[in-house]
Amino acid sequence: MGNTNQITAQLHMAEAVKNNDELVLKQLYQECYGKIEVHILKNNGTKPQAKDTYQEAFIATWQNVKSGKFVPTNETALQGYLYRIAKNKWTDYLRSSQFKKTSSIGEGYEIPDEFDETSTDNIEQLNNAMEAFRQLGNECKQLLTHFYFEKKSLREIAMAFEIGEASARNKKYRCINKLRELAKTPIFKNE
Amino acid sequence: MNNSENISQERFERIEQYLEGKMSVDERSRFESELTTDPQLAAQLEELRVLILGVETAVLKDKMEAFHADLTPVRDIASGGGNRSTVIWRWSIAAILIVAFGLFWMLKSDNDYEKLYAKHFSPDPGLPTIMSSTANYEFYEGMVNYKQGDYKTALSKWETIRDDAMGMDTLHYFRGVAYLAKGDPDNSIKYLQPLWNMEDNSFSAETAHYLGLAYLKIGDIEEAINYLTFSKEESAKEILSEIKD
Repeated sequence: MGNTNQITAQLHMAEAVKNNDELVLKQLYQECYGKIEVHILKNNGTKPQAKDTYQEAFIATWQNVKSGKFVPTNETALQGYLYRIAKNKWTDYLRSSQFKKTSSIGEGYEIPDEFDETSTDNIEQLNNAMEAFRQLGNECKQLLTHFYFEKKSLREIAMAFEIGEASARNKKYRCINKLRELAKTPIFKNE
Repeated sequence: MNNSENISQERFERIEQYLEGKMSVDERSRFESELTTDPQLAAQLEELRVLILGVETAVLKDKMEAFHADLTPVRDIASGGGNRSTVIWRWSIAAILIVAFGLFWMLKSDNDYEKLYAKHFSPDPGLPTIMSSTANYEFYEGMVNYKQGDYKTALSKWETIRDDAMGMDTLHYFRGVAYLAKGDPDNSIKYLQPLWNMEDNSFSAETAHYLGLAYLKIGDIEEAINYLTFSKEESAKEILSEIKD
């Protein structure tokens, strides 16, 4: 198998990640998790910590692929990138005061000399938006999921809801306004 | 950011088209020049961008929970060792069976066992190879050779893989089977034996099966019976009854 083919495969994969192709996302998620878990368990972590760190890294990878901050250039690019982000996130955690208060880094633990490429989106506003989405009614949730995550067309959405295209369009506008409203008045507690 | 004002439907759809990359080149450059002169438009664009990203991220988070629930459990490397009582229990059953078969197998010659081995050995069919799964690329590349019966190449590709890359059990298991298929039971035992003593080996029954066959091949019938009794394969039962005959 030629190297060019592998790069092409990576570019296809990145494109599928951008389009939230569920099968590709699932494959990528499941394929890389084991390695990260082993790394975190070996380095003073627990399984729940491994899961959280990995999921954060997965979201950062996905966001950076979507925004074009990361473009794969070799055959293992995407997986390697995800792995590196997760590893760096774990290293950051180990370096953080929260961890040092309760434990000390064991001898022989190497802090990798790698750059951090974690996405730097406005975290607070993003969290507000996510929380607002969770508070939305079911119909709006479904409609926005179809449209923005699954990238379905208005026509497909109209068919799924058994309504006309114009009313699907109006509904989407109303749902977005509802979402804006909820995101502006965050009533949730810090968890 | 001032985001309290109303965004008209028309304006919202325009911003959305821009965000989704659905504008023509002309429309796009017009929109971008408006952005530089209209700070309100720029603020609304940013607000909607984060909202839509929030929707997608929230959905992805839910999806990840489903992906995670669907994972094959990964071994807890911190626990190590093995469950002593399980191991002892396994050996007690084996010991009883040895006594049961004991009277019969002593009369057989080495040649008979070699024949019996040849009759019943077939290598594990292997794992499906997903060539795009490049994190374990080396492993799957070797798996292609393994499936083609080129055990030597498979083993040399697997030589450099670290234990934690694939899961130690998967790697050792296929190395063990490949050595056996290559006609090298001693090396096969080297990989399979420690695997058998390991708790949480996902190939437990299969490991027992091939260990049994490896010992059968070298003519160590006592050990062969030990392991074959833990195999779930039909052929293991046949071997045991043939040893008896």
